[in-house]
Amino acid sequence: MLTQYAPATVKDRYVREPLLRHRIVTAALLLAPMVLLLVGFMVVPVLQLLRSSFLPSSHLLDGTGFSLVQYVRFFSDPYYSSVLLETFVDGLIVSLICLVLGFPMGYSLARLPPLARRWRTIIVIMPLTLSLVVIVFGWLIILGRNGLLNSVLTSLYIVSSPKQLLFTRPAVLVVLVQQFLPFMILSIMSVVTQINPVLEQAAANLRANRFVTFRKVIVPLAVPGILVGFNLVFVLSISAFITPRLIGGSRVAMLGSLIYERMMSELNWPSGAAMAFVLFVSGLGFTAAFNALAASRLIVGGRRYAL
Amino acid sequence: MLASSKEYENMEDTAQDVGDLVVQLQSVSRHYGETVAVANVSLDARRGELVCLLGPSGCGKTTTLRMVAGFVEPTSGTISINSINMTHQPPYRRDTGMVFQSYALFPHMTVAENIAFGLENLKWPRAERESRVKEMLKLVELSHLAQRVPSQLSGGQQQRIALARALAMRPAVLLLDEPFSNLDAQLRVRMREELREVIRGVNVTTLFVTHDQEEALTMSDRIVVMNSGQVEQVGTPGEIYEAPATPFVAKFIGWCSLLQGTVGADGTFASIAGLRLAGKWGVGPGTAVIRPEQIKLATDGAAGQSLSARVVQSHYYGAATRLVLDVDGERLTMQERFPFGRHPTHGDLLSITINTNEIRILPSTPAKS
Ligand SMILES: Nc1ncnc2c1ncn2[C@@H]1O[C@H](COP(=O)(O)OP(=O)(O)OP(=O)(O)O)[C@@H](O)[C@H]1O
Ligand SMILES: [Mg+2]
Repeated sequence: MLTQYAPATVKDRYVREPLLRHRIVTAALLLAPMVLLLVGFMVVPVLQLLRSSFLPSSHLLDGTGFSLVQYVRFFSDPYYSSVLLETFVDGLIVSLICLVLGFPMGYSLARLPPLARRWRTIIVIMPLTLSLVVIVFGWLIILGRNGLLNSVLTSLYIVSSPKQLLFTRPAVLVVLVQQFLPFMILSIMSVVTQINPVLEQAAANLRANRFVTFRKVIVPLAVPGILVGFNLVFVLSISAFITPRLIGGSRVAMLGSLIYERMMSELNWPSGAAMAFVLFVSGLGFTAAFNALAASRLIVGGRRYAL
Repeated sequence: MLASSKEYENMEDTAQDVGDLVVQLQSVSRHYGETVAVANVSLDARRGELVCLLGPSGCGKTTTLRMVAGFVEPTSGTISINSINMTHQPPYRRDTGMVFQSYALFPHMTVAENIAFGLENLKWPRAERESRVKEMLKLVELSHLAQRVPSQLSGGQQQRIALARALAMRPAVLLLDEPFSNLDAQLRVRMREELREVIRGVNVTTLFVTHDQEEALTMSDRIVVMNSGQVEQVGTPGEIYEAPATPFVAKFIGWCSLLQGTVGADGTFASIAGLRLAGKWGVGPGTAVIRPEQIKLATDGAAGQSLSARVVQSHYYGAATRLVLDVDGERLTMQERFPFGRHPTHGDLLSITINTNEIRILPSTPAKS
């Protein structure tokens, strides 16, 4: 994004022309199956959804005409705006917790010898191979009124009677963190493996203790990985719907579960589609703004640091 | 400091011996499991001295240097810097400045920020920091590059910045690990001269690692020759070159030929294969050390002492040709300039003389210095 050199001269390009054309053809052939798949099963349905969000009626079947009524309804009801805001706040909290928990983990994995790193990485990835439904039901057993956590707490006399843990916002956040932590760990790990450990030694030689080295050397160099992890977890969190629905129930509203309800229970596709697009666009805008801000933070004193 | 005059005198006495020792290693060893990387190494560097650790690959030079910097903890022994025991102190508490083999400049900082990094950590006030950075950039003659980032610098420039960064903190000891290994041959010689000048200019005690004997001979005040984790010999470049203490040192410095044999009652050396050298050496078994420059082509007048030699290998170096000769069943290396078109090749016969006056015979059980 911030290129510093323009290496290819005109002559270079002229000499490489046939090679370049060959490369483009190869690239096109390699990309074709994926592009077809994406266009057929993602772009077209998304465009259909976009179309249906502009339908005036609340049913998909008798859908004719063009109207902004779904969007007007969404923005005129303060309830929806507050849910949207709440969803974003939750996404930020989950990303931040994942960052705080995932950084030490990703860092220490990156600094292990490759063999030792391999099976630890497998352990980190393992939860991702389980069906989300299985994971959520696991949490239901742990967090239930007579669940594992409550029985431990009561038998240790930490609480006198079982507490309401399920269907609370903290429970939703905990489960989301558990689900998305691997993405943060892997992003951090991959960026830290690119940081030469000799830089840490150089910092130590230049009188920086471990904390200063972390703050002035490791974190700035890990920014690209931090951003990738943060974006991933944020986007996954704000679009989550199974977790908020099953762990949060009707008391914890996140936009994802609201959309699911609107479409699957009420079968009101136009309204659900409009909500989905509001989430999509605002999420995109938010992450773009966030990244622009983070990037501008890295341009200190007129100096550019290539991401 | 308050001290009675008598104590003060005593302190001054010892200052000559101990206070001047900036770096001191006492019986330092480092084991990696079964491997002994460094075995019982003792060495020191006096104020302003440039001491070079020289030895073949894997002999423990880097490990020794890293123990001084604090990146590797010794298995046994003590390391003192300015007479303070630093053996178990972390790197950031040690008064050292290191130039890494890969330079290790911070890629996210400008040249000026790199140089200021150590000063910030030492809590220098901003104004002093800035003037010190300017001073250091001037020292390495790169003031115009202050605002570049390391990826925009050439290898030689990066190295000079790494040096400036290490020296900015005014460390008690400068540590250099093969600082020229990433540079091409010509730049290497130029940087070598520059580096020596800079080090002389700021008069900093320096520990320097290399496996290049030429580098060691031209740059150092004293050389520590290492072999498989141990110190073979410590001495000035002259001592090391002219009076090697062990066959290893002789072989490592200056392409010497080593002949096993014995000195007879008449003082004549006879090698195992049968080459005889007339001289007045001490009786007993030993190793003769013959330098390339002690072997000359025989002139007509010296026909009586000349030996017949067959060329086994011939290496053209431009200014000279290095020949490996077979003389009475022994392999000898000589160096000579031949007229254009007259280079000996494999199998040629030459007539040579050996200047036996300068040849040293090392006793077979070499006394370790
Ligand atoms: N971290 C380590 N683990 C195990 N063995 C090591 C380690 N570091 C060094 N060694 C061993 O210790 C010995 C000395 O290594 P060292 O790096 O000090 O050599 P060196 O003299 O610097 O060699 P070179 O000129 O090739 O850099 C070698 O045999 C090496 O294999
Ligand atoms: Mg080394």
